[in-house]
Amino acid sequence: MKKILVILGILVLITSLVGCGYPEGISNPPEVIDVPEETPGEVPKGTEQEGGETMVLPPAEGATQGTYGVTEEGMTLTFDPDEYVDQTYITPSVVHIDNFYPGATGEFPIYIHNGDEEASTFIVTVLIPDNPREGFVAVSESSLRWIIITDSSPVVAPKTSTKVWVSLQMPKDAVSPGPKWEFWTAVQKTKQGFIAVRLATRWLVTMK
Amino acid sequence: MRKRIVTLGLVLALLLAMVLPAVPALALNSAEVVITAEGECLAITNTEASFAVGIIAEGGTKKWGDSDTQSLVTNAGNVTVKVVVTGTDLVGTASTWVLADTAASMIYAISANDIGAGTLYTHAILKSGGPTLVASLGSAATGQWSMEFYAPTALTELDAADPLTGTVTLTASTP
Repeated sequence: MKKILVILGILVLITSLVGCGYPEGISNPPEVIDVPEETPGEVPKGTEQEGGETMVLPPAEGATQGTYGVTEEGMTLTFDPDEYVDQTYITPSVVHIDNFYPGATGEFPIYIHNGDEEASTFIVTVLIPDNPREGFVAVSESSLRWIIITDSSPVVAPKTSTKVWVSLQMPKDAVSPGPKWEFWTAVQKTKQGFIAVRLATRWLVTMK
Repeated sequence: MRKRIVTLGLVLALLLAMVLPAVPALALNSAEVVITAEGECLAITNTEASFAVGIIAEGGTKKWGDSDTQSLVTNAGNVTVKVVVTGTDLVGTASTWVLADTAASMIYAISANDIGAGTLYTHAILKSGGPTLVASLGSAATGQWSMEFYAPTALTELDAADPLTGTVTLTASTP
């Protein structure tokens, strides 16, 4: 008995040293509907700013051909963030949520980069796509309430990126818009003229 | 023996309490749900930010600037994009001009060029559903375009001192 307890103690110590988190990116933690600890605005990393989390995307250092770093969520960048530092952009352009089912939760962030010389406020909205991908149907109006944006008006410091979490929480008794369905998140600056620019991420949901 | 077990149990509980807060906060994805993302850089720019129509008569029209290629849209990212253009009603404090595909009483219209086809002012800008300004604009590619404004054919409410404002939005996505 004593040996077992000692072994258990050693295991706990090793775990604390090595870390025992779930794999990044595709993770399967227990099904809990809650706001993650590192939600922007709650536990900001880097330079704190109003309404979001300031960061710089992984640099090109150590990049292999065609890839330029991997984000905390396991997303491989296809561009060098240093090269686009002066552009206002979003990434990713497409998010795939597979094996989804009623009662499930799926979360992934969008990164918003402000290429301007001064801080900008952005608006993040959910859109019903006018032209969904082939094989997908557009999200229904009633399903829009399943989509939660943790910070819909982030303020982004100049030449930095902010991470905004998008959470898809489908009620257990809900009916899917289709076996394959799509919604968009759109990002635009609040201060624009009569002609405004909006950048949209496609979210492609495939049911189990 | 029992005392030792209790002591060891307390030590273990203490260790667990120290370890648990160190677990990184991650996305709370349900079991079996798989999320993957395409980490491309999605960005466009447009040279013009305004289209000041000024004072316009009932049924009047006005082109955007002096050129049929007034504005330049550029794909500033690393992925091919589709650009769709939509509009809103023009709203003032005293009146609203509703956006539709054809001008009518208190209804205005605005049309855009088709960058790919090079046709002029053939596409009515609507509140949703397009039209598509350019179906496929490669990385670093540019396209010139312009708009034409069609004032309502009749005004039932008019306050010259009440400027109307709205927005024309270019939405970029992957095709």
